[in-house]
Amino acid sequence: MTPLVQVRDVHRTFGRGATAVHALRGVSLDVAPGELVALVGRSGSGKTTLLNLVGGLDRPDAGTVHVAGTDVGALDDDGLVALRRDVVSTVFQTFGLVPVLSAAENVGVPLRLRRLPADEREQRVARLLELVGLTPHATQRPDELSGGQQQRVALARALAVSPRLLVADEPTGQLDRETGLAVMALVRGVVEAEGVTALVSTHDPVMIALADRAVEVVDGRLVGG
Amino acid sequence: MSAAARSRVQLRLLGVVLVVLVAGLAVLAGCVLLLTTGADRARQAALGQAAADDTAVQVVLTDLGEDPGPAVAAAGGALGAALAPVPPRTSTWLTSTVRDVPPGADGGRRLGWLAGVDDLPARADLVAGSWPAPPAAGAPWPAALPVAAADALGLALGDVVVLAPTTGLADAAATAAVTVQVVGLVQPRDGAWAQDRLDGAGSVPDLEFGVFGGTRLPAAGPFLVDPATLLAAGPGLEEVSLVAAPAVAAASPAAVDRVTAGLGTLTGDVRSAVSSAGAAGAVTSRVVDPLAATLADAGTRLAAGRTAVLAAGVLAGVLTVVVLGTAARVLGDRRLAETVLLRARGATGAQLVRRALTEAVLLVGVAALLAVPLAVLVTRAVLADRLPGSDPGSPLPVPVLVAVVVGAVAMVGLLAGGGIRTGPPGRSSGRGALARSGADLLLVGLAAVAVLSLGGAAGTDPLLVVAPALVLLAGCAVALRVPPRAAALADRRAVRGRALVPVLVAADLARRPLAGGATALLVLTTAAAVAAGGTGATWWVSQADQADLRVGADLAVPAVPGVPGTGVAAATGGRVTPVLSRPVALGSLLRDEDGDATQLVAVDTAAGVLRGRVPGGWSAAVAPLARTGSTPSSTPGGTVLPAGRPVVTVSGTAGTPGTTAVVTLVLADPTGARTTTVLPDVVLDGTPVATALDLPAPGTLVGVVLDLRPGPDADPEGVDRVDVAVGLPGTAADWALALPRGALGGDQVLSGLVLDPQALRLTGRVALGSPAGDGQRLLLLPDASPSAVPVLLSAGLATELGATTGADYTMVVGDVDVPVQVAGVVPDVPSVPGGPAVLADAGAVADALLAAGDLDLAPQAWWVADPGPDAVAALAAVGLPGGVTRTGLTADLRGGPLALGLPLGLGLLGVGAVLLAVTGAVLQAGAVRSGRRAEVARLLGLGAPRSTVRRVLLLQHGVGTAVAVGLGAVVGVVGTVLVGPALTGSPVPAAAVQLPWLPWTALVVGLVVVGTAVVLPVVRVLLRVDVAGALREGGS
Repeated sequence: MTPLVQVRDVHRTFGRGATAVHALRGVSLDVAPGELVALVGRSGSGKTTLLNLVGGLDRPDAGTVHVAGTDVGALDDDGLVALRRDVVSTVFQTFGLVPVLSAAENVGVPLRLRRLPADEREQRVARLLELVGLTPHATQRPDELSGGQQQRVALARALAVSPRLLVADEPTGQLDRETGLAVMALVRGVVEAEGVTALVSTHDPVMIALADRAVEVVDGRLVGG
Repeated sequence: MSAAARSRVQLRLLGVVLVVLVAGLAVLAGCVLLLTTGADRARQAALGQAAADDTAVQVVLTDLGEDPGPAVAAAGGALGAALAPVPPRTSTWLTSTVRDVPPGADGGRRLGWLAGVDDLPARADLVAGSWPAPPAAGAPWPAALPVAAADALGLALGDVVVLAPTTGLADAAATAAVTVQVVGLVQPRDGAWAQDRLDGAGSVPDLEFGVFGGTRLPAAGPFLVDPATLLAAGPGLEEVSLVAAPAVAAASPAAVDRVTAGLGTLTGDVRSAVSSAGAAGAVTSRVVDPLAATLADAGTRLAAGRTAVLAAGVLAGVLTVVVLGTAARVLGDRRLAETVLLRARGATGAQLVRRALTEAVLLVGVAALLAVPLAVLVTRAVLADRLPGSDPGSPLPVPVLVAVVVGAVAMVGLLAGGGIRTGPPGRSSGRGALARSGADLLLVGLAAVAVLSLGGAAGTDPLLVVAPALVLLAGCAVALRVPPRAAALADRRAVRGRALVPVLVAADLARRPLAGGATALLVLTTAAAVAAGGTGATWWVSQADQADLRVGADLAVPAVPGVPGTGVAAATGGRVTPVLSRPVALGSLLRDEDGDATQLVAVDTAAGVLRGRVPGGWSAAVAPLARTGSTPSSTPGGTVLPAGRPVVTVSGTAGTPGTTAVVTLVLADPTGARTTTVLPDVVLDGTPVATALDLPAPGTLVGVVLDLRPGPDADPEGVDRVDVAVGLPGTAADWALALPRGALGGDQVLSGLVLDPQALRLTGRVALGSPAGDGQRLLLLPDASPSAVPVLLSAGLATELGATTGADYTMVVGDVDVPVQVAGVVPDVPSVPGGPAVLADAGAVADALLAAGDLDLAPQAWWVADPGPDAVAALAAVGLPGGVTRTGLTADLRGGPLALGLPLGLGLLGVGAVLLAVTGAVLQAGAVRSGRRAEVARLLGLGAPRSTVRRVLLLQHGVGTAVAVGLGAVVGVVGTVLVGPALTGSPVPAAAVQLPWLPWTALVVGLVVVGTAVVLPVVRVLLRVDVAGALREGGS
């Protein structure tokens, strides 16, 4: 089976000269469709950089990144936008919800970007909120929700357009252990139920345990995986 | 981070803060300069431009008795004391009672009088001979004569004339004859002989004489003699006039204020000084004080300007505080992390305060160094341009320094307070932000201004000073309630749609509270700019309304004997109407509660010359005043006489030899003005007397006054037969015989007489009384006099009288009773703003006066509609100086020295408000940059195209700006309506609110465009955001 994500010898450097930071040094990685892969490593190891490249938020300096057969490095800005809208959804550590929109409206943002008819959109939003167990909180705004609830809204939003790849950068980083466990279980469940491929960076051993496999990033290089 | 490094990093924000500080301090300094130096220079310039007659004070003494010297000296002392702070140029004019001069060649009686003028060389040009000097003992008094008087009396240099003792008065015996020798001939200078009995004319054929003025005799004079000699001569002085002209234009404001105070008590001071002088008998004194009126008018107008400048300054201060408060908060937000870190590292509160204060003092100091010279230079340049020749005074008066220091201290406090915040930035409502911006403290300041203004310079209304700021603040607070509701509606609609952009825009407006002073200040600054423009437009139009009412027509010029209406029409090229304008008594009312005499204004109501604001227009307002038969004044009934020299022949016989007929013709020229021509006396012995008239234009004979005087042998109790005919050229009219209204006899007299109206021949029998009496006056009139003259009353007069339409009154014009009927009420009668006045048709009034036998029908002024461009100069060239156009007066009211305060104050406010509005928009753009970074990253991270994100940001900011500016405009319009007219002073007519939609629209559109445009570079920067990095940093 062709991997959904193919990373070949990717390099990414920030800055120049003596202060240059080599975030990724020749990283190669394959993620099969439907797989939940955990990226582990210390802060500054290059996990986030790798996730950004895979998620279409950045371009490699060298090497290639293919997502669903598309060379991310060759995409222009519009192409990256389309990739983020239609193929890859990202869940951020800081949730990334729009503060003035309710939970339901936040979930509906990607659907509005696709200009889905209102009825269809609202049906899908309702289903997603039910999936993440937040139906009673549909009309509440982010500042009225707990961290875990916000992360679940972010997850529901990420799933709104049925992405092929779900990228999550430390999704439980700002949550307590119990909540984090619940969120990761949700991710696991969504991967299995929706057939979504997921690439998740985490420190959490429980999260690692729930993943199909773990890949360690040390100083910009992959160890294992 | 060192202060310098921090400043470099936050250079843009500090630059904005500096702009706000400079704008605020410059406006403050400018307003104080206008209130101090500006007001002084304006008053100086206005007084310098005032006519000499308007800055003089005159004390007139009559009933001087036998020894006028002490009374004159005492009055002079009182006048000098009142004007001591500004020592005046004084002159004294003594006028004797009339005396008989030797009869002329025809043996007829002639009158003359003596005068003594102590500054004669300044009032006349010596044409021949020498100025009068004190006489040698026993010698004739040297006297100079006006050339016209010498010609009338047939006198030349060297002639000796005996002026008989005073004649016709009870104390005639107390005066002695005076022998004068003509030593000089003088030509009076225009405008310098106001104290003369004949205004420098030199001679008059019919001076009213006698106790009741019933006799008219030729008179010529004055015989100008040494004033000390005339004063020392004892009795025989009819009037002494002391005129003082202080140089108030060059005086200090304090000196002018002292003079004003002195003039306030001058009447009583003169009266008491004169009575203390111990003069025998009661000397009557009268003070004519145009200077007081001029100073009062200047004070009133300056007070209106002062109120407006204060109000503008207070409002500008409010705006500055709000903007500065917002800027300080933004600065504090920007430095919050640093402040928290410093606190955590052990910095004490005092250290933080010291650091914030140091930076604030530096910023405010730099701003003051920029703002004060800017304000001084600009203000002085404007004042020099508008008030040329006025003393610029000190470049930095103490009040300006004090105001700037106080303002700077307040600004330091605001800035420093905002810079040491340690709490987290919280969501803030517009109203809350207003409070945190210091507006609540401003209310304390406003109260202080109001208290300090109480008992301040006369005319400054403390409530009016603070009202604009309070109205706009209150309006903004109310206005900020509206958008959330409207936005909620938009939000609900947007949510039901498909697109993302409307949802994000509407949700931002509806659910993110109108945050921060940034939006509130945009509302407030827009409101201030709109209100400044609206108030300025209201004031601008009000000046034209005032000029229209004060002048009454397009052009008004005082009438001068000898210059006919046709001459006025030829010189101006416009439609001319004669104006009868004189004080009258209406009903029982001579003066209103303010002491103003009721003024009659009679014009040709069909000529369409009236100007001024009146409901429905003047054509409709004066329609009820049309003469019976709807013929206007200029086309009365009567016999039309051709231009040129038409001949009028008077002939007749009487039963008693020596019976005489004196015929007076009353003519109306093409303008409708009435003139009287007295024909030579005709002895009714059958000999016709033909007289050629001199008519420059066709005229209409509208009345013939026939005075029949008995012969020397007439029987005082008898009835004489008379047969008198007046032969006229032209078409005969349907004449009727009448007695003067109110004359004794009435039907009994008329029953004995028959008039042939076509031949204008009167036959019958009439009692003429004794030879010493006045005989019998009969009137031949072509039109029946209306029973009552329809009039319009001014509203104030109607209220005082309790008059309603249809009410009948008697109007006393001179000595004549004229029945009038109220045809309507108007707010004000043209040329009598705010005063009690009666408006009538000139022809109707002239007919009514003639029907009462009154021949004082000459107009006091000419009003012209649609004059040519140089009409005023053309009128002066034909002997009619003093013409005033409403356009010229409007220009003076708008641009004269006393009109500076309000427009400049509003200009400062408007410019300052726009500058602060733009600054507020820049601050808000900065808030967008710092507050929306994460939001932009979110949307981009979700796959929203950059174009979508750009549209969202621009619409969020643009709609927010448009809403704020729109709300501000509404508040500004409301402020204009509520406070604008009051800020223009208390003009008559009251200022009508002007709503300059076009300039306002341009302002609002401009502010929205600029306010939105300032965010464009910010949007550009935001769209280049590092999405991943921003999302990693920011939270929901």
